[in-house]
Amino acid sequence: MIKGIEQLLQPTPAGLYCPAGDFYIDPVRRVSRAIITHGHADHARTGHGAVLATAPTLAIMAARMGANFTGQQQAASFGASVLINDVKVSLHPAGHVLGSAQVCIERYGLRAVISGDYKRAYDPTCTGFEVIACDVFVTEATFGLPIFRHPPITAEIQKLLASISLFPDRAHFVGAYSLGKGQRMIAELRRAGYQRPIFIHTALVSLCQLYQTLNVDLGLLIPVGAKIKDPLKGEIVIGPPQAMRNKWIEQLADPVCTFASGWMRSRARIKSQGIELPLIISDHADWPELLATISDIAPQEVWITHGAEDALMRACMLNGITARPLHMVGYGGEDGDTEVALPVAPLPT
Amino acid sequence: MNRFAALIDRLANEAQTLHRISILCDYLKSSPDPERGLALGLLAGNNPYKAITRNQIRAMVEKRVDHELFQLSRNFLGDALETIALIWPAKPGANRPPGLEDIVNSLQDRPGDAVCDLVESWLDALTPDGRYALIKLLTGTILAKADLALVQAAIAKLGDLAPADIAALWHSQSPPYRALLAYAEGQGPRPAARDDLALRPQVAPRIVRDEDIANLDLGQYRAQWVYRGLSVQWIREGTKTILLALSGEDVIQAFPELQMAKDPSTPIASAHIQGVVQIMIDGAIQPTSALQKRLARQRTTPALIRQYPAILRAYDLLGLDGQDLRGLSFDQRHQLLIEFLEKTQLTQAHLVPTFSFAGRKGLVALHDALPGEVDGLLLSSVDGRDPLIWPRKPDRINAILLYATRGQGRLASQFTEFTFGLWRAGQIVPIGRAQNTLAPSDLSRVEVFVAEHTIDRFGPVRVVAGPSTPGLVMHLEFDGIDYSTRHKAGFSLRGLRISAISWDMAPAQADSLASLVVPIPDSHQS
Repeated sequence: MIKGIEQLLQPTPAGLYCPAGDFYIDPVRRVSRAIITHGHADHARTGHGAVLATAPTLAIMAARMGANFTGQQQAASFGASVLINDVKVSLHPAGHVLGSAQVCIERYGLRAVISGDYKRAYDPTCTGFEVIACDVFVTEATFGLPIFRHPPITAEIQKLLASISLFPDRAHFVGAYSLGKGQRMIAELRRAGYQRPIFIHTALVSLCQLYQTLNVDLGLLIPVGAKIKDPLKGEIVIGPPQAMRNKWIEQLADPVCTFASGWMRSRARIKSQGIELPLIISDHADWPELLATISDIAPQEVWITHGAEDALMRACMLNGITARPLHMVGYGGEDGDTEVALPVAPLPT
Repeated sequence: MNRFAALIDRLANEAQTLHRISILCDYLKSSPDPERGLALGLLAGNNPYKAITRNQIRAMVEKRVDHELFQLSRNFLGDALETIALIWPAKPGANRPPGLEDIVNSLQDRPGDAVCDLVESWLDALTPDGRYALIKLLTGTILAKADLALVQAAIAKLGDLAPADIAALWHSQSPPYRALLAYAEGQGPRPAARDDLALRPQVAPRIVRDEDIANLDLGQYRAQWVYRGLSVQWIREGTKTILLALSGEDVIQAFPELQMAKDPSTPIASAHIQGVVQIMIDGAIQPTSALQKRLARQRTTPALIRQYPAILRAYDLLGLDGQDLRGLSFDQRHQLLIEFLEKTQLTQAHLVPTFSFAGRKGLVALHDALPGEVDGLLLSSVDGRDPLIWPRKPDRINAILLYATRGQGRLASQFTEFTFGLWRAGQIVPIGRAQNTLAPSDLSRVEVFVAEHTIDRFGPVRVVAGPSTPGLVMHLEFDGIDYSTRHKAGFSLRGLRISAISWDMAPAQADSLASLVVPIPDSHQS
């Protein structure tokens, strides 16, 4: 145990807590002061007294939970320091979704970085991960097993485009989470030269608009509601994965069901979810990225918040790094193991 | 190998046959020889490339990966081979990924332990999906997710050919199918089939209904009974006998007794018989489930042959002593068939006789008198064109709806299958299932009925009738009865289908099991 760390950071049932600064990071309960890493529902919750986050994250929270999601809000830009009591706090890009940040807290020369969710791969919709040297690095381990190695996203996008040219008479429904993955899919399709309008389920509309106002170029998007007039042959429709299990999808022309998720590495998941075209695309670090990040930062201790911590613990032990599982409850939402129930368009009547 | 792996993964995830054909056809268009032909061989049937054991491959991965990390991963995935494929560490600067032909060729040259080093270098070079396919291939685990019909349809689609044309050539070709693929693409001539051993495609009979019979020129037709079984062509060429199913696959291994070993006193140079394989015990024809027992086994043991002996119903003679008889009239061929069977006394072959009939009345009389084991009348025209099948009159019953079952996937929101029952001693006994063929308006009324009368549920199944509940009676048709010890009613009904809903009939008026009065054959009274 690092001397004095318990004054800087400790796990509590409400979330990671900084006693010296009296604030929480991504708390799962209502607290008086919170720092939020990014806008996914398992990290950003409503009802805190005050919230510090990046400006895009605050905008995402307002779009998802309404303008009154917190008492006070304070925006911090990447790299700028804020003093809370005598703790120096700064936010740094995490590369997970738009606005996602790592939280760096420092007091008396002792520094901890709470990464939230992060990835190292390129993402056109958000700023890339920044390596911050620190004493304690708090990491997730959603894909913390050596079987998870995400292929390059360009190859996965090509799979989707090849399938569209193979089945010009079918619609392609791409299941993607409505914050982050959906917009990244659109941006990557544009980057691959796909110029046609992309159709988006109502669940994605407000966040896509927000991304566009924050200068992320997504091209022409057409929302589709509960009733679809045209079966959208040969087109791409992006929506929340839950919509695949809804009668709504039967309106599309013999749809090819695809799902963009890191879990599509597992054949059992592909089968059980009835996915025809799995796309292995994740906004979380895969196994090599987790190991590379830990080795780049070279902290005295690694704390693991949630995910498959056993394997990452083992790998840290084999590499001579002290690691500690926090067994935190309440995380692993959007791309995690449990799927958050998102609003899905009601059945047409 | 990576391309082949992508193909089998895509086929495994796609359920609809038409789309599977498109996927396979696209692969054939985009892949070079000989890879694509070797892939077809693997998809169509057996895998001759089993080279290593699961334990050998497990030992290879244990050298590279920490045991505990492997166990954690295996527990997550639940599949050891998949875990090996995904966990295998990437090797920077590995060789070029091996193609399917590299793998096949190397295995032929290098049997035994020498293979292991080679396999390790291949695994280093492949993607995770490629490794998975390679491991499945080399350990001999089932790889084929396609069947012969799908493979032939995809080849035919390359050049808008009929799948039957490819099926006719299939047996005479072998991997990597260069000539066949070139022919399908219009890049080469039709391969010279070793014609004597190839399928001779026949026109598939057209189904006719009672009202169509009046319009036929009946003098041009000969009538035979339609036996249910496996349609085959039995071919004897010198000492070799093969039995081709209509897909072109040789199934003689499953029916060795149909080789009907050559009797030296009655030499046959060659013969080509169109027929149907059936299982017959003491003169009683067995249901197709008995035939399945013979086809499903890897090895055909003498005990299995004794238990389910096969016969060949000989319908037509397509070739004799090196001559192709297809140019002759049906009557001439039939006469030759009779003489051939008399002369050779083939033990397991039974002639399917033709019936003479006088005009339409005579034909109707024949049709009315069809025995239970016969599915209908085959009407072959003398010139061989436009053969017809007149199916037997369906039997009809009024049965009570017992269960309604929801579909899966896209059909999850509607009922796709219904189970029916008949009365026996105050109880309703299930007699069989019928697919949903109701008109949308009827179906929505049935959905309402089921919603209001569900008394129990098991997953997608709704139980809607018990002995004391108001039930729904439907008018059903079926083609025949197969006796069975595996069904509660003691039989299964062939081709059970819904013809109408009897909304105003009370369940008490539905038929009883005893009303299906049929004498039970001796072999089933035990």
